[in-house]
Amino acid sequence: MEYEHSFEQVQYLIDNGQNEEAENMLMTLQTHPDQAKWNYMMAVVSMNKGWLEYAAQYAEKAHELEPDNSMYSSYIETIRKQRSEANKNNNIKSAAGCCIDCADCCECLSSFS
Amino acid sequence: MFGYIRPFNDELRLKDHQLYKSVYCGLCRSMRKNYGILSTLALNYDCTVLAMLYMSVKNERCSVRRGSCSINPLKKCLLCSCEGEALEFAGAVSVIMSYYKLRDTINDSGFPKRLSAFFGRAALYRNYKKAVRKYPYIDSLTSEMMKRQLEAEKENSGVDRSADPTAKLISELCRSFSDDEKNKRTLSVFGYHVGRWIYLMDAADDLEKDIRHKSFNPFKGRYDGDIKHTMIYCNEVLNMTAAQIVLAYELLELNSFKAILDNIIYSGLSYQQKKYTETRFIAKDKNKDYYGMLDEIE
Repeated sequence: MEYEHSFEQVQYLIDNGQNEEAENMLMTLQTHPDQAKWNYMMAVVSMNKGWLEYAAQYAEKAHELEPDNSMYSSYIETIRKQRSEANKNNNIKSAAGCCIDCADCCECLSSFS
Repeated sequence: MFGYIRPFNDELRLKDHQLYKSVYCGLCRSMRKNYGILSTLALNYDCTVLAMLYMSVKNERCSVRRGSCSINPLKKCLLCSCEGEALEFAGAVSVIMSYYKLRDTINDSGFPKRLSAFFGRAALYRNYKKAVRKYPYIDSLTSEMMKRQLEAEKENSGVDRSADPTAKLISELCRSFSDDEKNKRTLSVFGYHVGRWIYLMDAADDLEKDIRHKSFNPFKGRYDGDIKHTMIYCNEVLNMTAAQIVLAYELLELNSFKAILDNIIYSGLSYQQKKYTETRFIAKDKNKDYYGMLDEIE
């Protein structure tokens, strides 16, 4: 129960933009590294800090520990999507179409060489 | 480390492409004027984008005029000049960062590279001093970044830790563009991920070479030097970073150069990423790569 209370405090710090304090506090709570909630909070803190690889690892761990929790699973789903699909919607295809339409446009062709 | 942030020309309208080129030439001209002709050696695409972002965020008015190229006076080009400090600032960043990069090369490369870096540094020295006098904080940020980078490489850190110094540097530079607290925060997040993306692109680009020469690379620890698997991993990391860039970019309050910046963020990043990571391992032939990629999409 004591931990639950501390997590509330961490959440409060995160919401207030005090990310470093939140991280330090989580580090002192590391006695339960197998707790899903701790891993999830670590993921959020790492994400805010910009350390995306750590964020992904912690989020995976949280999901693994509590697969039924919808908050954790939607969080990891977003991360997985970002990792795989961000690059899929590039429009190289349509660009190639442009160059067939305007064959005399040498500006477009510059990037082909 | 330079030249990864570029627009995807095939999708840029001609007028925007010309505007982009005019900023590039304008930056070159401004560097020649402010820091000396040899400083134009340090001109690069990333700083052109930095200058555009600066002008766009600060809403600085710019004008384009016809002129001739600084290096080849026979060549005609469009030159962009602006009322504020955008071009001077971007010029200083590129001179200072190039100087530090050359210093780094002198410390840890083979003899021929060291020799050319030595002359390059000697050529840049006076221009560098001029830039430092004008923007001392850029110099202190960059030297701090270099120191932290060396430490991270010595400790053989992972992806996040070794990308952090570059990311922090770009983040601080972008942060200085705005005075508004909310904008500052968005800019610093945007800058952080852009810096991270540049560093990781550079690492992915050098992966093969680093494995061959047994030098440091943040991606190397994974998959024991199996390039194909490591490249898939690199792409995942870069994808996620690019996604964060897009998220922060959409919150920025931009006033000009919107079309070019949109193109760079939405198409340029992923195109460059494909060019340097995936396609290099699909086929060796450069032309085949391009069309091979199209087949894959279809």
